Amino acid sequence: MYQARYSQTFSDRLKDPRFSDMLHNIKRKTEMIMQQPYIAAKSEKLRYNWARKRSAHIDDRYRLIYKICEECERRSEGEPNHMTNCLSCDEIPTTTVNFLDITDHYR
Amino acid sequence: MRETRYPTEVITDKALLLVLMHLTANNNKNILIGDRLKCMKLPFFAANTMFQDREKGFNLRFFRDKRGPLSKDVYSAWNHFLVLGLLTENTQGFEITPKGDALAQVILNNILSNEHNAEFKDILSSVALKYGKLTSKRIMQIVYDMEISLPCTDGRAKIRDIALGEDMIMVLDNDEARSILEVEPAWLETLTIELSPINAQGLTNAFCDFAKGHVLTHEEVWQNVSG
Repeated sequence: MYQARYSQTFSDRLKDPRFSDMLHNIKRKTEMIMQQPYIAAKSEKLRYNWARKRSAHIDDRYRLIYKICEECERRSEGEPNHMTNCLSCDEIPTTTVNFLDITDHYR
Repeated sequence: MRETRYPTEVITDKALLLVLMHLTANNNKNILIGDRLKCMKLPFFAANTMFQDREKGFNLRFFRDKRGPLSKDVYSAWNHFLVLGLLTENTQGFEITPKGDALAQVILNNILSNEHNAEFKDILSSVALKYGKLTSKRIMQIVYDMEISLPCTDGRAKIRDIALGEDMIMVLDNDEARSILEVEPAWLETLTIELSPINAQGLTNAFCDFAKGHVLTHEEVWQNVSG
């Protein structure tokens, strides 16, 4: 089981009225991802500017965007990416899933 | 045939539109693409070619407006491109930015270079080459003289004779199409972020949160949600 961290942006997003009826489902998806972060919820590796982050389905419309510390370029070889400057990076276990935000395919 | 697009079709339309603007600017050896009138007619040429041949690349809906074919979907895409810094607009019209050029090239290399998508790439290249250097005035003359098949009546008509408000291009369903643009799920997910100002900004904010240590645990986030 991986551990999870969440951005303040993610936490604030959950207060959006659009998600009031979906909180249980979103929580369930995060827990599925914590168990199998590479395959749960139709996980897809993002590309280009978002390389080394992942997108997973909440439903047809919404996605969970997250990053697994094991896949971070600071800890392994690979494509460059935005998020390489986490505070106290060295103190965070590599088996950590960092939930960034919820995106909307309708926007 | 439909009037409205599915979310994935909105994303692929924006991707193809950006590539068309990039190819037009490149052919002109300039960053200037043209004014709004011209930039509305270029995707019409491409979308009409695809629609008439039942090739499901663009899914833009065009109707007859006072100044020829118009698509509200194109307006919406321009607004997103401007907010994302992929285009700028001045008195001469739209210019593509280095960021827009780079993203268009990535789409060309990773999506349109797929052998299955060659026909879509060829149509975009052909429109950019044939019409990209023409003035808006000349393009308008060509548009008004064009004869097209109308989606709702099965008849053919010159664009100048089509009634205001009449649909000219509609959204093909998959089972009506002879071929469909193929985009890998990973690229579709990526473009959903890359081409949406709201999604891209949210993630940028999230990166800042992790850099500044504005981070919460699983228990803190879900403390009020049971189950």
